[in-house]
Amino acid sequence: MIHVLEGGLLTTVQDAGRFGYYSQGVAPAGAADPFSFTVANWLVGNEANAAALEVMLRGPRLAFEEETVIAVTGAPCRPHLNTEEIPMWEAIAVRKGDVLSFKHTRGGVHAYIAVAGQIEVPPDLDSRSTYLASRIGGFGGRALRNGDRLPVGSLPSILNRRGKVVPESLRPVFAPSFDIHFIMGIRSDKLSDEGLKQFLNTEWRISTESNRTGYRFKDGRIPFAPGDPPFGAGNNPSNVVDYIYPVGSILIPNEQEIIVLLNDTPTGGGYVSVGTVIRQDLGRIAQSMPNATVRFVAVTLEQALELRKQYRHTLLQIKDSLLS
Amino acid sequence: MFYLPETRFDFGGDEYIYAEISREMSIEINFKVQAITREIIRRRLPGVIEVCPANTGYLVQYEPEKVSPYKLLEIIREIDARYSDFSALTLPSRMIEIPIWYNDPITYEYAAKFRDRHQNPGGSNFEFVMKINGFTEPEPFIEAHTATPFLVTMMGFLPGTVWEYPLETRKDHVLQAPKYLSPRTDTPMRAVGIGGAFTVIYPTAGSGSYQLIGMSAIPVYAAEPQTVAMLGGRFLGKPGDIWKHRSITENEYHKILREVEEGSYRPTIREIEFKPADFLAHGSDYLQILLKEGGFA
Repeated sequence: MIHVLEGGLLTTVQDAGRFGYYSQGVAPAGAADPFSFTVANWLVGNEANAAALEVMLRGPRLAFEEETVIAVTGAPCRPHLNTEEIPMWEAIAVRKGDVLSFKHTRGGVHAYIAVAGQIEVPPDLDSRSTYLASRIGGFGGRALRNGDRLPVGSLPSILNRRGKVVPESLRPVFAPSFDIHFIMGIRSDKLSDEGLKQFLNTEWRISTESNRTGYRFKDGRIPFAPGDPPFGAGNNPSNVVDYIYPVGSILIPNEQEIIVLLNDTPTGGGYVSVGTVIRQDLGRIAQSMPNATVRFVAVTLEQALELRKQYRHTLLQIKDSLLS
Repeated sequence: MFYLPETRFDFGGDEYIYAEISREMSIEINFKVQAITREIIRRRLPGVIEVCPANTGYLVQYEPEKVSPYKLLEIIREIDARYSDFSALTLPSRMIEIPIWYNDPITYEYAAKFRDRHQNPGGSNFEFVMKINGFTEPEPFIEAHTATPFLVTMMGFLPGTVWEYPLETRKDHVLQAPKYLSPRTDTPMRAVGIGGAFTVIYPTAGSGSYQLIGMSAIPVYAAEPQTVAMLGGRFLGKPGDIWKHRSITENEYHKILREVEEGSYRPTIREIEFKPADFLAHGSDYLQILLKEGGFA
């Protein structure tokens, strides 16, 4: 068991996500930054999709009631075991009674705490991920609170994990300015040519109203194409007939704002979309702080698959380095 | 037999294919959506993670490591073409009765609270929707929303939310409403809303932009174990369901709510076989037969 002394700002149990229920409106949820999450699990010897804790900005304070191995990855958050700072991206042995605490994250939003044997909450709709909006999964469908006690599974031979470390060169860097790759399409015709040009040429700034549901971007303007909304859509020019949003949809709710939908997305609605962000850039977005600036770069499916291959290659390099 | 425009396919990032059968909503388009998506699901295509019917199209999520997106697109295109003809289609479906307290004080209170975001800030959403659809009195409007059964054309937004579209071939018979100018930040759970040509019931409290015309006495999403038992799962709805609204009084609303809380309420659900071609040929005569067979008339 892990005794939660302080819950932190928004600490949730997450795995790789919930699949098979999107057609009934259930968002996948799951780790916002799957790269850091996966690596944390590998460090402690878990399966890639084992349930871990996701920290947002201000981490929890946790007391371990048994000996185990943990790893902290993701946004820099200066983890401390008792009074001593411990390294991130490294498997760390903890003893019974040790207390893990954090400083506020810097330069990133989400950190991950993996524990050997995973956070063993019961699966809900086939996943342990917390989906806060509808109280599905995780620890009672909610964020951790002071006094909670988290069940931990067991793993054989955890002690040989100690000292495993991710090479510096393979760790992600969260720069305050970056490109977001997307594939154009799905209702993008509702934008005027001028609107599309503005969208691509603007350096967008991340708004404070961003979270696991979606990230909002401002400081640009995107004129819609003139024309009446189609039958059934209502009468707002930004509306199309309600449809199912892919995770990563770039929505234009009005001419001054963009929303990129993340893992806790509403699964459908009627906003115009310019296209869909490629999978691995969603984790990058979820790690960015308000006021970070981005540009949207259109890619072909071919290019997207190539980027995906590179991303997976880095992950596999890490996996190999941890096995050796 | 039916003219249907050609489907447009788009890649959504590196994991999705979105098929848009039409821009405009019509009941025929959604019959086609139901037919195609059921076939895609039935085939259990390797690498396919999610198949989601939408109002006028559908979304498929896949793992590009398990199936080539180009190959998958080819397969879907073939299914789309073959199953666009629904003249011989029978949809196994369910008819479900939804008891609604229309023109109620609960949604009125929310209209008052968020009137600064409304195009007609004065009265209730119910009155606004009633008037823009050409009704002067509540009763005929309620009659229009309860007489015709609705098809669950898609599910989404939040877990359990259904989009309902009337089984109506004439577009000028479809009740419509513009959405709020800016979304409400709160909506009561079980509120019944109209936006565009669709009716939804809010599964949980939260933001929303549809005009609120009443309160459903039964939930569409279950978070508690006794509600899960009542609905037979987390969600009342399934795409392809047929929902029949029934107008109830304030007293009956509270009575059903109590039964739901105690766990003794059981929604009226009948398994039916729905034939889109028969509906298009015979319209409300066919629906009357279905309603009678289900014990709803």
